[in-house]
Amino acid sequence: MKFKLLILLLFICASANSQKYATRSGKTSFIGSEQTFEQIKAVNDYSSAIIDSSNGDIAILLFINAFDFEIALMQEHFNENYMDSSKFPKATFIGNIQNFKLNETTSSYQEYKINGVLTIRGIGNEVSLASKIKKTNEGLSLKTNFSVLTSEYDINIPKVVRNKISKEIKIKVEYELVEKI
Amino acid sequence: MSLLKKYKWIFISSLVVLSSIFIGIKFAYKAKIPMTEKKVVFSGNISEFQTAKIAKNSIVILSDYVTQLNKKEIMLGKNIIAQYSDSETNNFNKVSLGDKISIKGVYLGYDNLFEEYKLINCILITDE
Repeated sequence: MKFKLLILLLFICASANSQKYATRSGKTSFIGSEQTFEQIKAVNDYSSAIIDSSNGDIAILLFINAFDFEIALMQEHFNENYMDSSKFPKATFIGNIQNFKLNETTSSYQEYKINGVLTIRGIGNEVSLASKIKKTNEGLSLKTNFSVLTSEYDINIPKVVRNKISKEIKIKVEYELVEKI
Repeated sequence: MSLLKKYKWIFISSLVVLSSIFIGIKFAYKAKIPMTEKKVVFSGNISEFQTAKIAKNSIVILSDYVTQLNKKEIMLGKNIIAQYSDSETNNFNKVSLGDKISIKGVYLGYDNLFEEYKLINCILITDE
């Protein structure tokens, strides 16, 4: 994972003249259950992301422990029992926004496909995300909704709570990126 | 009286079950500890922090100079980013570039993308 990030950083640094858009406070949220008595949902307001507008390369990094749940005990279980966040503290996405051209972005959302590798709990899987990007006064706005299967990332759900936790986790990404100096 | 004797065990069992449910709910819905009350693992300046090898997700207090001010985040020194929630905006709005401040927050770890140490849920410590 560190190696991949290093490669990406080198790749981004290589194009010194290109414009980069970044955020340290992207909002990533997920819902991990159906509408039950207490829905399993959390939000991470501290996701980091960088887009290189010259070629559409994108890198996202978030700390698992920064997911905030309404119920403290749920947060504890999420970190200790399911995500093992002390062993796997980060989730990353490294990819490319297909056919991205900065000068073609407008103030209305346009649809793009982002292909890349999503790494959770040290397991990387190829994903293709349908996303929306628009130009804002400060930079770029990126939105995407997608789902991941818990089995693909070796997240074990105990039998007792198997009917409460979805096998498919719905993830929502809302990032406001500003031009990086 | 005889009625109470007759249903004594049903009464006791119901009481135990209800008490267990009550305790269970109280435990499951325990309130989050506010940052002001969280136990501090490390307190010092940036150079001490970087050599101390603090465990991730520890509560730390850092005292140093402000080098950058952004929306909902401030930079201390060269590579410590301290992020705060909306509720702390008014307090952090009083901070200026070059001020020496103390912050308390959760140390998440090293952000490889920005090449900096990341602290979240920060609050400003004003009594120093």
